[in-house]
Amino acid sequence: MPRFFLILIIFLAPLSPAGAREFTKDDEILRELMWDKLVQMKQPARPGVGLALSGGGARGFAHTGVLEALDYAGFPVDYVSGTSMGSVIGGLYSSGMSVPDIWKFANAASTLKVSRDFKGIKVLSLLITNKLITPTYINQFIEKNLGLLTFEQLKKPFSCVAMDFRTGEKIIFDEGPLGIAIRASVNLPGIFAPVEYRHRYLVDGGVVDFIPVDAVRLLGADWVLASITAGAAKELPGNVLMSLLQVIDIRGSMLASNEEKEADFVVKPDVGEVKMADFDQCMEAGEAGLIEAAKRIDGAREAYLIFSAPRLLEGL
Amino acid sequence: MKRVVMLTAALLVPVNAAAFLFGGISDKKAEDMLAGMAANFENGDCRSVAEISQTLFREKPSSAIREKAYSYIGRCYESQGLPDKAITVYKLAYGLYPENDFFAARLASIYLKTGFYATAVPLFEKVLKGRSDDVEANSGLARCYASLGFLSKAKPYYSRAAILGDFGDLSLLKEYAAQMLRKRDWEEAALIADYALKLAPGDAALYEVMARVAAGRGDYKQAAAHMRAAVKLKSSGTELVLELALLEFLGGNYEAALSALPAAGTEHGALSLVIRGMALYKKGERARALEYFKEAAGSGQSFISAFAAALAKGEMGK
Repeated sequence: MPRFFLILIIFLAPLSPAGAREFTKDDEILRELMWDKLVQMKQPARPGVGLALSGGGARGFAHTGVLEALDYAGFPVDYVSGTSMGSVIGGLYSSGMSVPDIWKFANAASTLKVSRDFKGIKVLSLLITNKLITPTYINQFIEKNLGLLTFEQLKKPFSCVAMDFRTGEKIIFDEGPLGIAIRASVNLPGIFAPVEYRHRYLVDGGVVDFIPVDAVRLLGADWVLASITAGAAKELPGNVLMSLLQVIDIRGSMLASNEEKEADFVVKPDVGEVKMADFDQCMEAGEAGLIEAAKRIDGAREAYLIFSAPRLLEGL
Repeated sequence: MKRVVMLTAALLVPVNAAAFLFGGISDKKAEDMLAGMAANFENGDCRSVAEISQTLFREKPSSAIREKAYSYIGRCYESQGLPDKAITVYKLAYGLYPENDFFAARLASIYLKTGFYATAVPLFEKVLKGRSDDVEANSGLARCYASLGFLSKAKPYYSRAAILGDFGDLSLLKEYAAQMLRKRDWEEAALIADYALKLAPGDAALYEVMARVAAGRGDYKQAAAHMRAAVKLKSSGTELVLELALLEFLGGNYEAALSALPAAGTEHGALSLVIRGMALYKKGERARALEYFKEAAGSGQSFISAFAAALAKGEMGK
């Protein structure tokens, strides 16, 4: 084979999509055994893995299923960033909460009354009173489970994204009290009152950074897996609130299409059946996440192994 | 009043009399036809089963007879490799006789075989609600969950199927162990492989499972020992030889890895090239290693070639 073509293959082969390859028993042997070795290594012997979790309201519980699939594979997760619901799931995970315990929240979401913050919204009263709402149950949930922690106390480095409502700036939180930062990240603009913190008025980060790939790289991640809630809504919105949520979701999806190119691997659970504000459907979202991630996990492992190959060989 | 009495009497009369009144077939005749269907089904004559069933249904048999007839028709379609037609019959029958778990079990089994795992799950669950000791339903549900990626949910059903079968089904045990490897549940995988080895002490694949368990635990010495046993049992298994070489390499025994590989120049396939290259690299022979990485990288569109390309790129970038 001419030398030029050989060099071309060497430089292009790692870029070819996993789906375009033929898989053999030999591939499986190399993948499984090298993977076992790689996950036994600590940073910096292997590249740091970052997890970027998108927003998506109730759909964001799909991340729980993705986390479970990563857990089964023994996938190392060194850094986590989240936007909106991704910040809640990411915050719980980074605090050291086990994946089965995060599932319990999905299972109990209806009794946690989180949906009431959305169901209780009456547009007419918003117009009459001319006041934005405080999401009581969401705040209670965050404060109860994460409110006593600071970023520094977390088991894994974590950051979350919000937006300054006055300037439109993307604000990344990675130090100080955790609860208020996550509350800001999930704070729906136009309905919920902005969170006032550090002289800023903060709303949901999904408006400016639906998938915080850059944020997790800033924490130190060399290789980033993004979990993105995907799927067009199967039903037309039935009221003003749902229309607003859908607009935010569409805007987020448009941002995501650019941002996901920055990730090294993307898992996109199809959660089109799950309404963004219907927290009674969290289990369905989680299951969709697990099914999609289970399908893609070998591809993710291979992509990370290929990325890590030189360092892995050096570290043996 | 006279009409009401007559209608009530008609509803209360025995089935064969009802058949007489409403034009249906007598139970005796219907049972004979059903027996004919059964005999033809047993003989593999599904054409006759279909013919008899057409006559039988035209004669409006009793509900109980129809229920049994559906089961023969469905099984005939299954045996003829027509799962879509079997599904149609079983779905109809399941709708009419929801208490009959046979139809739920057959539907679940077909959905499992055809890859509709999520559809099969509630049907298997329905069967297990009535008969929690049904081995096929337990293993079927385990397979569905495992195929969907729900490995924690799959585990108790695999376990129950194995226990109910008194650890006597080798293929089930091998599948169970493989799924536990996937879950990185080393303890369970080793336990099940142990049970399987009692059934098939000469099965090389089970030693491969034990080697994977040891490698997962980071014990490469033990892993290589298990893999040597596997190679001994299946001397023609080139893949096992390559796996042994890779385990030796990962355990730091570079010479042993090189010795285990086919002689240089006779390699077949990218994996042996990559292992040779990595072992040479660790021995300090980087230029030779690079040649092997390049050759493996150019060997096709596989994970191995992409991995080798990354190694070559890393080495060339230095």
